[in-house]
Amino acid sequence: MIQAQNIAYTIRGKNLLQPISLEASCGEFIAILGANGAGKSTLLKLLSQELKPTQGKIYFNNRLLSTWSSTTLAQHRAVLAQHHTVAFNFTVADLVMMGRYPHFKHSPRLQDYDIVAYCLEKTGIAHLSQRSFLTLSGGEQQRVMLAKVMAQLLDHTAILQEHKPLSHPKFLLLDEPTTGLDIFHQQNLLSFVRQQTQRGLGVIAILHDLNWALQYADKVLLLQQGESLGFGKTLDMLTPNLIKKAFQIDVQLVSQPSLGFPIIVPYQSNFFNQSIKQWQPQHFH
Amino acid sequence: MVQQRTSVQLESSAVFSKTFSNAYTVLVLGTLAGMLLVVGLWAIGIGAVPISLKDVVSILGNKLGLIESHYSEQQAVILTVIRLPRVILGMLVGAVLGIAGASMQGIFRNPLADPGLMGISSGASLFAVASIVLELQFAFPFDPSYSLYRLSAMAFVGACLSTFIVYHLSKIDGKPQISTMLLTGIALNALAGAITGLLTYAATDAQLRSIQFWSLGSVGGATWQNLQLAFPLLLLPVVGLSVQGKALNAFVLGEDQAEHLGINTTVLKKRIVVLSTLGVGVSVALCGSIGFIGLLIPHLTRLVVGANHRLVLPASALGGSIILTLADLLARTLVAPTELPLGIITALLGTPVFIWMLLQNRTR
Repeated sequence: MIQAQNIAYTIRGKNLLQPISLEASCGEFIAILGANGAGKSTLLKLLSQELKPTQGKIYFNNRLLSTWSSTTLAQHRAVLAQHHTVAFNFTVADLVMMGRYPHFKHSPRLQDYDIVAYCLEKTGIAHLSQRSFLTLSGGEQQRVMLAKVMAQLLDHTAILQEHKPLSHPKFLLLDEPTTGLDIFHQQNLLSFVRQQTQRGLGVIAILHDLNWALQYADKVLLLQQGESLGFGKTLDMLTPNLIKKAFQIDVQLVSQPSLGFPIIVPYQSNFFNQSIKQWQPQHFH
Repeated sequence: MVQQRTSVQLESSAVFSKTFSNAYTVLVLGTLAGMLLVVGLWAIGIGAVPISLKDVVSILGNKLGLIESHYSEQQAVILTVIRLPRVILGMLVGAVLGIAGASMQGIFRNPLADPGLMGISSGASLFAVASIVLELQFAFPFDPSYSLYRLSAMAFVGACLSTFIVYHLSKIDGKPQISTMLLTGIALNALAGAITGLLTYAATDAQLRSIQFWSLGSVGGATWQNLQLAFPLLLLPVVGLSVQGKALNAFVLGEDQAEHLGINTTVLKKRIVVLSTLGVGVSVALCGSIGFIGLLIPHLTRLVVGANHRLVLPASALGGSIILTLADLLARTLVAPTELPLGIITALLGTPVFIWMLLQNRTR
């Protein structure tokens, strides 16, 4: 369980994040939503300990986050970054093996190889295992990194008994994981992560697409200019009213009986009137 | 369940056929170590008095008490007093430069980094040149052997001091920042170069010759006496750096990502900087600055064995050893009975190889 109690972050007198509280349990998919500059990444960095909160406390599995050793913490939570820079010509297999680094000292054990092979296969990149990471497309690179964080979180029993819950409470933090992916791979990635929550993985993800959040998230935290607009069940949070507050756009939730969930459609009021006026012939006089 | 397990295992052995298997690591390192041994034995035999491989083996075997054999006493003296310490020093220095270069490229996450970037070599040069130039002006009657030690000690102090300055200037909120380290290193290099130039300008002709000899590098000064001191100081960084493979691999993803994988990056940076400074500082102190090995060897190694630092680090050490032994062999035989400076050989041979590598990369 991750509990953030009134955490805030200030740098050089600038409040990037006002006090925010958040609770994430195992098996939950939590989406952090908000406009650019709302403090989403700052919050995620606080939760992943890249930054230290200037105020408030974060508990990870009922222990203060800052008291976890970096290795033990790495065995229990993984972070999928938004951008990947790999300085040298590493192969895909080498990179995914890095996910196992918190689990062995110098050389990988047999089971580490097994887990990596499993994750390569599950993310559909087993055929790329000997390719250089730098020669892959953006979508393939993202899947490699997904395989890496999965390798970090799974253990040997988890790959042998796919339907058993994870042995320890574990968390995955994702920073805009669908950036640069086509819609097929966006869905693939999110549904894969969603599947893992059924085994007890806790997920906290920054998302941009409201519809993905609606389909995959259990709960939503809405941020606006460093402040929380609320934290609650997805459908309670993604109302036209709150979305208008967070993004300054008008949306409608359209229900389709054949789908089990509504679709969020943004629209611009008076768009048609304006655009018709713009196309009046006077412009060409 | 049982079947599932075997299928996973079969796959993993296919996936890791090359880069990760321990057998491959052992094979590569074993081959390099074998090459180093052969090159070393061969190099000891070559020189003004040629000694055949058979004689080399029988002399060494006898000295180590392994075998009873006959050999000429003159050959034995040349071998053990002159050539052996020189070849051993060359191997050690090559190993240190190779592995320090690979580690520096690792923490700077830049294949163009080398140990000189932290100001190790330029700081050492500055202090060495200062000690050569100012020595006579202070006019102490130095015992020549003492003056050699003084030069080495000064060079080592210079190396440590400049790294220390670069490391501490690069700290932001108590954590060293790699990009700042790079810029500070470049700035300090320029400053040290300028002061060295100023001192050279004020030097006499005799001083200039020793400055020039020193700045181009040579392992010719090797004796058992200074090897005794240098051996542990050079071996420690090689061993210490060669086990940092896992951490440096994670570092390739960036510092934050490495932290998320449980690597303490501050400790890692400190370790690499301290060990590299120790190794390169001692080698510059004893042999002057030998260029290109630290840049070239890790590159060549990566071309052959891939990017995984678990293999790149020890392989760079062995590769550096082999290349430096060969370069020193050329340095002392090409224009025999005199010698060419080692730095000239490494740069002359290294530059074309380096440019060739760059072109290879461009067309890939």
